[in-house]
Amino acid sequence: MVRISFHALFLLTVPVALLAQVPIDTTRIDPESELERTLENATQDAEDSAQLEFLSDLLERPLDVNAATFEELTHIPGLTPMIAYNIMVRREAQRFTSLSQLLEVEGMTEDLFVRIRPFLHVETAGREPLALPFASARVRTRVVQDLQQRRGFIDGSFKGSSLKVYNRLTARSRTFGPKASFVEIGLLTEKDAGEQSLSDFVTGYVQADLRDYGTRLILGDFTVEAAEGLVFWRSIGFSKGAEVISTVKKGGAGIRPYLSTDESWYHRGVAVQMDFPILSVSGFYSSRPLHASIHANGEVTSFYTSGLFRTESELARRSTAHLTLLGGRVSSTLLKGLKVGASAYRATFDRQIVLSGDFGFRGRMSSLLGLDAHFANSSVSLFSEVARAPTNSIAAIVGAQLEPVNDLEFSIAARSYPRDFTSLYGYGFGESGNTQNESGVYAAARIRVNRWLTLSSYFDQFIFPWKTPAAHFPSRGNDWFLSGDIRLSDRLSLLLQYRHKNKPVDEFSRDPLGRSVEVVGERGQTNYRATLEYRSSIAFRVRTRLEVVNVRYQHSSKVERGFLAFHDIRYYPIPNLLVDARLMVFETDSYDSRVYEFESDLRGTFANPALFGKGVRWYLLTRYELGGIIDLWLKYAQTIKEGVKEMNSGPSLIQGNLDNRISLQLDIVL
Amino acid sequence: MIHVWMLTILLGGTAFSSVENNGRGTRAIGLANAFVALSDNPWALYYNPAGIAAVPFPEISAFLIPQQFGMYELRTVAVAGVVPTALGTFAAGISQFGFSLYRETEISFGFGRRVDWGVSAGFVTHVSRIFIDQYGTTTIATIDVGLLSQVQEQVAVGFSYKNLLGAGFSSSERLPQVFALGTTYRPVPNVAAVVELEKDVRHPLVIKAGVEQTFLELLTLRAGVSNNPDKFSAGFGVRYSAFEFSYAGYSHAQLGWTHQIELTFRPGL
Repeated sequence: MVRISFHALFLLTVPVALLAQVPIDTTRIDPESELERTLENATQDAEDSAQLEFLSDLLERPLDVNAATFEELTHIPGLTPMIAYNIMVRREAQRFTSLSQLLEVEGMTEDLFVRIRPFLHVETAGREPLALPFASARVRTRVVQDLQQRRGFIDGSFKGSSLKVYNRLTARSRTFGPKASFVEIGLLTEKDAGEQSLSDFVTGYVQADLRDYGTRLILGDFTVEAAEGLVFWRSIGFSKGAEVISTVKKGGAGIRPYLSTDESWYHRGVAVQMDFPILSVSGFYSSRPLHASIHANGEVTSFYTSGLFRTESELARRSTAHLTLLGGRVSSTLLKGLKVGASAYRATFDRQIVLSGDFGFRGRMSSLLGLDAHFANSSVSLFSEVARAPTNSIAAIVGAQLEPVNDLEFSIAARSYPRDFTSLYGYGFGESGNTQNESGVYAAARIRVNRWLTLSSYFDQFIFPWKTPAAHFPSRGNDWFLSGDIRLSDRLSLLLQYRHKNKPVDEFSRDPLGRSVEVVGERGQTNYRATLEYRSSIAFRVRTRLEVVNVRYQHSSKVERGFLAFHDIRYYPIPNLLVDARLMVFETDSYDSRVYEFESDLRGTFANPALFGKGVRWYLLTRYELGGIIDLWLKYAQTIKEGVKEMNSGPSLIQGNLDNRISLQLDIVL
Repeated sequence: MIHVWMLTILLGGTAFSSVENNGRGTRAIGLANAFVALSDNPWALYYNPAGIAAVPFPEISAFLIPQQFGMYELRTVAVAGVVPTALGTFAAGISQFGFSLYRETEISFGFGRRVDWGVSAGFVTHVSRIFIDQYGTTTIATIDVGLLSQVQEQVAVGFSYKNLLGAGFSSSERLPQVFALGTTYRPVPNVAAVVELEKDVRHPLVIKAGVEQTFLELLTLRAGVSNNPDKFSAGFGVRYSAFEFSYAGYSHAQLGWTHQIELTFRPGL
C-alpha cells in the first residue's frame, strides 16, 4: 500500500509543477476538436442522436449572428441567455461585420468565443457565390456495414440486407429581398441494417422562410419546440451534463423543419409562423401514421419508437395507428427582455391508447395547454413554464440563471411534474426524461477562478412521487457533479471530473426475522475521470484519459468496479486530410459498471458506446476534402472482448469476441 | 521437475514470456520497466516504438540475462540497434530466449519519426519463431504502435499498444495485447522520474515507477518498483567514451533475483 500511495502522490505533484498563466492561442484551436469536446460535455450518459444531429446541423449551417433569434442563440452550448441578450443589444446598436467583434460583447471571454465560433457566421445577403444558378445544395450519402454476421441474418428473421444506408438532400434557393428570405427543400431516406427497402424511412419538407413578410411556412415534416419543453420539444433532448449552467433552460425556438433519422418524434402536415412587431403566432396541423403495438382488442399498448423494421414482429407494428394534431403557439415580447407565451394542442388518435403504468396515458384524445414567461438581461435570466392537462394535473418548471460578476455564474431550477401529468410531445428538464412523476431542484455554479482554472459543479435532488419502473414505491435520489478545467500551458490542459449519482432501485433485504423482503434501496454510482490534452499545433492534438467507475448498492454488499483508459490523436498530415484514431482498453465487472465513451464518427453522426467486460476497442477515422466541394469520410472500428464466446444478444448476437464495422460517407456541397 | 513447473507458469500465462515477464535493456529493467514515456534507446523496440525517434545518434546494444530466476534454461540474449536517417529513425533487434526444449527467436524492425512539434510516433513489427520440443515450430508476427509527446519542457507522456491486430495462435488464443500509458518528469536534466500504467487486456492493472540520476555524465544509478506481482529493481550504468556498461537486477516476490548486463556502443560519440 505504501507503494501505491507513492505513485498516487507522484501523479498529483506533476501537474502542480506545471501551472503557468498563459492565455489561449485562438490560432491553435481546431474547430472539430472543440465541437467534439462540446458534444462530449453535452452527452454524459446515453446515446442521444437527436441532440447530436441538431448540433451537427448547426455546425453545417451556422446561425447568422445578425439574424438569429434569442432562442436560437441560446441553443449554442455555453451561450447563456445573459450573453445572448448582450449580443442582441450590441447588434441593435451596430450590426456585426465580422465574428471577431463578438469579443467586444460584454461577458464574452476568449474561451467562450472559441467554443461558439463554429456555430455562427456573418451572412452577406444575396452576394454569396453559388455553384448552381439559383440554389445551393447539399447531398450526403452514408453507408455502414457490420463486418460480423448477426444472428438475425443467419436465421433469416431479418428480412433485409445488413447494409445501413442513409441519403439526404437539402437545397436552398438564392436569398431574395432585403432580409434574406429563401425557400428550401429537404429529403431524407434511411434503411437500417436488416430492413428491406432503401426508403424504409422517408422524411422531407418544403420551407418558405419569407423574412420580408415575417412569415415562415413549412409543408411536410417539422418539429415544434416551445419554452421549456413541457408541452412541445423537438425530441428526446439531453438533460444534465458538464455544461452545468445552460442545460437547465431549454428556450424553444418554435417550428423547425425536420430532417433527422428518429422515426417517431416529428409531425407531418403544415406549419405556419407569422411574426409581427411584438407578437409571434404559429399554428400547425399534423396527420400521420404511428407505429405501435396493438392489443388483440385493438387498443394501443405502447408506441414503437425504435424505428427498426427488420423482423416480422417489428413490421407488424408499422403504421398501425393514426394521429391528427392541431396546435399553436403565441408569444409576445412585452418589454425589452420580457417574453410571454402560450402553447396548446389537441391530438386525436384513431384508436384507444392504453399505455402502461398506473398513470400512463389513456384515451383517444390528448390535449395540453401551457403558459410560459421568461426574462433576460445582461446579468440575469428568469424562466418558467406551466402546463395543464385535461385531468387538471399541472406541471411546472421555474428557474433562474445569474451572472452577478463576469467570472461567476449560477443557475437554479425547480420542477414539478405530477404523477398523472402526461405530455406526449414534451421533454422537460429532469432526471428521468419523462415529463411525469418527478419533482426536483437543481442548482449549479461555474467559477472561472483565474486564467488557468475553471470549476463547474451541479447538485440535483429529485423525488419520484409514485413508483417507477426501477422502484416499486415513491422514492428519491440525487446526482452531483464537479469538474475542474486546468489550463497547464497554452498547449496543455487537464480536465478532472467527479460525478456521483444515487438512484432508487428495488433490492432484496432481510427483515428483523431474517426473511428476504423486497425494499426500495439505492444504487450509488461514482465516476472519476481525468483527461490530459496536448495540442502541439493546429495540426496535431493528442489526448489521454483515465476513467474509473464504482457502483454500490445500499442493501447488498455487491460492489462493482470499472476502469477505462484511452489515448487518441487528431492529426492533419496534409491540410485536406484528417486522421483521427483512438485506442481504448477497458475492464469492468459487468454491464452494471459500464463506461460510456463519446467518440468521433462521420460528420452528422456520433457514437457513444457503452463498454463493459474486458477488452479493447479502437477506431480509425479519416476525412479527405476535395476542392471544398466533396468530403469523403471513412471509419473503421473494432471491439475485441476477452473471454467471451458471444457478444450482444437476441437477433443482434454475434458469435466470437470480435465486433467490427466499417462506414463510408460522401458529402457534396454545391 | 522444477523446469517443467517453470515452463507451465510461463507458457500457461503468456506465450511470449521473455518480454512480458522480464523486459529488455538494463535501463528499462532498472526502472521497473516503466519505460513507455522514456524509451530513448534501441530497446524502445520493446516498450514504445515512438521512442526510436528520440535517439539522436546511431547506437547498438548487446544484452544478456544469464539466468532468469536463477535458471540457466531461461537465459535471454539480445542485440538491438538504432540508425537515425533523414526520413526518420530505423531500429532493429534480434533476441533469443530459452533452451533446447523451448526456444523463442524474435526479429524486430521498427521505425519512429517526429510527426509534429514535440510529438513522435512509431511502430515495430516482431516476427517470432517459437519452438517447443515434440510440438513443433510456429511463426507469428505482431505489430506494436506508440506515441511519445513532449508536452512540456520537463514532462513527456508516452503511450504504446502491443499487438494491435490481435495476432496469435488462433482467434481465441491471441498473444498478449498490452496498453501502456506513462509519463516522465525531469526536474533537472540529469534526473528522470517515470511512472507507467500497464494494462494487459487479460490481467489486472500494473502500476510501475522508477527514478534515475546521472552523476558527472559518467555514472547513472536507477531504481524502481512495480506491482502485480510486486517487484523491486535497481541498476547502474558506467560510461567510458563511446562505450557504456550497465547492470540491472530485480527481485520478484516469489521467484527471487534476476541479474542482467548490457554493453552499448555509440559510434558517433
